[in-house]
Amino acid sequence: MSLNAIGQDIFDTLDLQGIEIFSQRYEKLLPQKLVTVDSVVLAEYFASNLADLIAGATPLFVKSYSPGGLASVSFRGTAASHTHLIWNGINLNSPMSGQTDLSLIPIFFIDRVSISGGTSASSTALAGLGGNIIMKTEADFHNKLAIDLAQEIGSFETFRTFGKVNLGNRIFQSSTRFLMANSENHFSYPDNSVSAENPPMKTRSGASYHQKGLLQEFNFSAGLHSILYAKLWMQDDRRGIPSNIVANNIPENEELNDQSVRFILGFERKNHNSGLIIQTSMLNSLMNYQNILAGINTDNRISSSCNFVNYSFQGIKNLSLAAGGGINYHKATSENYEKTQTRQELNINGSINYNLEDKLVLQLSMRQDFIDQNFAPFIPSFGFSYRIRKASPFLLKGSASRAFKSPSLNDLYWVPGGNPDLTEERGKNYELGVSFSKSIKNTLVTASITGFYADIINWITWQPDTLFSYWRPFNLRHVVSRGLEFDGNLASTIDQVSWNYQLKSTFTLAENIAGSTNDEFSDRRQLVYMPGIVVNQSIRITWKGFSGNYTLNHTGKRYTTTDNSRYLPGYLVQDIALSKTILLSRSAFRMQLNVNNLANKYYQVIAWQPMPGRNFSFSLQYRFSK
Amino acid sequence: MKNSTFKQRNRVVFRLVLILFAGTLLGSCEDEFGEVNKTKSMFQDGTGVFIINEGNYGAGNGSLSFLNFDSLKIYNGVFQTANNRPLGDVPYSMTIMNDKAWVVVNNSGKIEIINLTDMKSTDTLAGFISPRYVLPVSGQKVYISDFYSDKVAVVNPQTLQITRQIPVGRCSEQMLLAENKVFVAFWSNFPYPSLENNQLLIINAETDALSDSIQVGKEPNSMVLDKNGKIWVLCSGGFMGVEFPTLWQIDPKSHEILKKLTFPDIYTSPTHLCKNQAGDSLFFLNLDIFGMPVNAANLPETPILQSEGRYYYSLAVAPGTSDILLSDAIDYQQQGMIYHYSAKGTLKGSYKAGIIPGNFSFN
Repeated sequence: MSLNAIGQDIFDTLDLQGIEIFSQRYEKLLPQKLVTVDSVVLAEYFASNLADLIAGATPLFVKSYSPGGLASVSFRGTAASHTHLIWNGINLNSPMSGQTDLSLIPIFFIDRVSISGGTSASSTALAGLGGNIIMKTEADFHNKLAIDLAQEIGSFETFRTFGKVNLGNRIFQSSTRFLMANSENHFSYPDNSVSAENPPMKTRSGASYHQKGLLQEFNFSAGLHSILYAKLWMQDDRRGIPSNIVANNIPENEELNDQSVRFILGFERKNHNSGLIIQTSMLNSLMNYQNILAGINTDNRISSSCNFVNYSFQGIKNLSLAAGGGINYHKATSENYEKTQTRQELNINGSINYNLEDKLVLQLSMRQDFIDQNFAPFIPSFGFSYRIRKASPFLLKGSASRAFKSPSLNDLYWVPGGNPDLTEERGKNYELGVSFSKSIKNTLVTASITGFYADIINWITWQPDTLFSYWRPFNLRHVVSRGLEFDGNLASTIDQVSWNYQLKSTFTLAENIAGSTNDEFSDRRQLVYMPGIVVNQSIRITWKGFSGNYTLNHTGKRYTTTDNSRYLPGYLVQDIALSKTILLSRSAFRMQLNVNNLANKYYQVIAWQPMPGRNFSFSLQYRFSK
Repeated sequence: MKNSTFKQRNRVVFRLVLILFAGTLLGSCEDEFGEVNKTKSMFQDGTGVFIINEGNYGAGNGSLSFLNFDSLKIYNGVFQTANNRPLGDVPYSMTIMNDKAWVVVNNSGKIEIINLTDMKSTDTLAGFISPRYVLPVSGQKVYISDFYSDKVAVVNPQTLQITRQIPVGRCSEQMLLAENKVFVAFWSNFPYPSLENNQLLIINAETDALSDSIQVGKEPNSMVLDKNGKIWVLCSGGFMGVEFPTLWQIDPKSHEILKKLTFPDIYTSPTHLCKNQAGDSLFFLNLDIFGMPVNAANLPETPILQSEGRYYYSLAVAPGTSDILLSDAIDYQQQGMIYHYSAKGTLKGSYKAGIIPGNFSFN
């Protein structure tokens, strides 16, 4: 392998254009919009978590309490539980809460992240009402030995250590990754609960976080086109939960401890006209919540088993067919449940694709789920992508689908309040978009604009019961969300300088359609914590192993009340990442300096939960490859 | 030649990109970063009622409103307007002493003392865990009940110092002074699951010592003293219908139970016991609004005011006029409504207050 090839393998920053083109080709013919986070960006965010990556590099709104704190994402105007986090084909959203905490997902443990709307983006796991974040780890059978060690030091006593050893041959590959992260997270913030005019600077306390994780994978190449794989992901997270700055902040009062063990065993066989994947998994998690003052120390345990099989066949002229099924079982134990609660999910799915070379793709898919042996809503989905002329830079795409979301176990069984009479939230999703991709002189220009429309009924909201005034979930709201997504990208190389500019933005109008009879003031109002506009811009320049990336994120106003009588102002965050890679014969050193929130702008994503001002991190990474 | 055209083009593109960046930078130069309340206004003094808007627990969006009975205008966010900072997390109750109002801010563990004329905070009393109510006992003593503390705090209103903590061994809620004794409702056993939350604790107001207790129904949530000097206690019957709700009449001298009236439906939760100024009539909220004379032998069967499909959160009866004030928190995530009825049940007006309008305090 040439030195240059090793370099590309090690740090993808070196051939920017190539990567762009590759990811374009991969996704362009799918009817649904699927955005894959660039491997260059993933490399830049290697020490971060998924919440920081999504907030910093995509135009999605991440509702984050503080760095390292609870974080969830809103996709196309929907709620946190409407985005499914899919890891190697399985949904990681907690069956108890229906959500995932994005800050618990280390980027170092992921090789590929894609974001999609629409239902048929993943056939193995049930798609979210709003969208899906799809994460994968991948094996490289060309590898003999690859070692990756990194240390990051950051503001607020943040230390992160990473290690990866990939070892193997063309038959067998082992990959071991570990990480350890500790942060006191004691950043300064202006306390506007004391004075809005002259807020005194204070130090956040009780927000520290500690993370340990291990990911072990074995991949065994059984024959020419077959892989047998096993993945084990273990993680331990301990976090303090600070109260909002208006409340009585009793130091170290609240703590959240998450432990999880996830194990996957699978078999995949692919040849020129068929593909088969069979996968079984066991997921165990323990969430411990402590509140000293309230005398709460409670354990929530979940055991799940998720299994699926999927077969695809290509070759009857332009048709390809896929069919699959899955069976999942969840068991949850909590002091807040009367008894151990379980859920059984069964599904069958199938799809048919018509593919006319590089001109037209038609896709029809169907899925039927059975939840605890009851019929769930049938989910059909139809999509197309169409190119008027061969080699035309324009591609038209569209899809229409249905989706549903079962009430979470907490919605059904939480004591007090759980409402066993809840029914599924149901949605209809439509999207239509056009994309453009052309190399003009030596600049690659890509752009896409996508309009979406989602209509969701039976939207579950918790509010006090009319009789005993305790909070209960009800199928209360009807939400209509529509908007536009724009993605633009310019990339070019002049001499040895590569530059790339990206502009991504979303405009979302997500409105409540009168929930209850006397609630006219929230009718046709924007949902709470749903920014109307998010704009993400970045410019990256690479030259001889140097790379500089400047990003600018603008998140618009978020209303905090359903009648839109209160709001949080928009904020603008600027980040810089500078790196230098030094290639030696078989190894490489990489240094990266991050300056986050460059302009030192103070902002709150959630009311009265401060975020840090300007802060720094520096990392040193060593890679060896043979 | 061709190469230089490339470069020129690239320069153009590059400049375009810079302009876009600059535009975004300039276009979103917002320096404010805190939650903005679009409905807040300046306080206008007059005869009326303060509305303590609890807000959502942990969201810091509680506020203080004032409904002026003369102008029939409501002023929202009056504390924040006067003090340029939020009132706190879950303001819960308010007690007026002379020209000052003591506002208990439950989840901020503090009491804001404010000037009644301009709403400016003169002092902030800290050091509480989860304060609920303030009761002036004498010129030298104010009692503060607390949800998470097992003590009732005694504050000197002159020095504003906590002078004593009276151990009561459980949480304390509403308080009432009669016969130089303070009757304290033990309303919730959430922090003390082994104890039965069906008691009135009696503290000697002279010695500040716990002297006795009376067993009443589950969850004593409100108390009033009638014209005959008797205490009335309303018990909701516990969480999710543990027992039938009850209304008790107690002699504060002998601690004797004079009356126990039991509600017919276990799945109801009556709250907000109020009286008129004369102290000869009682009112409470039980989905609809009910009223009864203090000498009634039975609980009223028909309401004096129907809820008309609304779910009221809070009730108060104005001294003097006996006007009825009701709040509706709607979905608990928006400005709640205040409904103002005459004593005869005619709607005088409805107003938007703050988030989750709870207790009322008449000036």
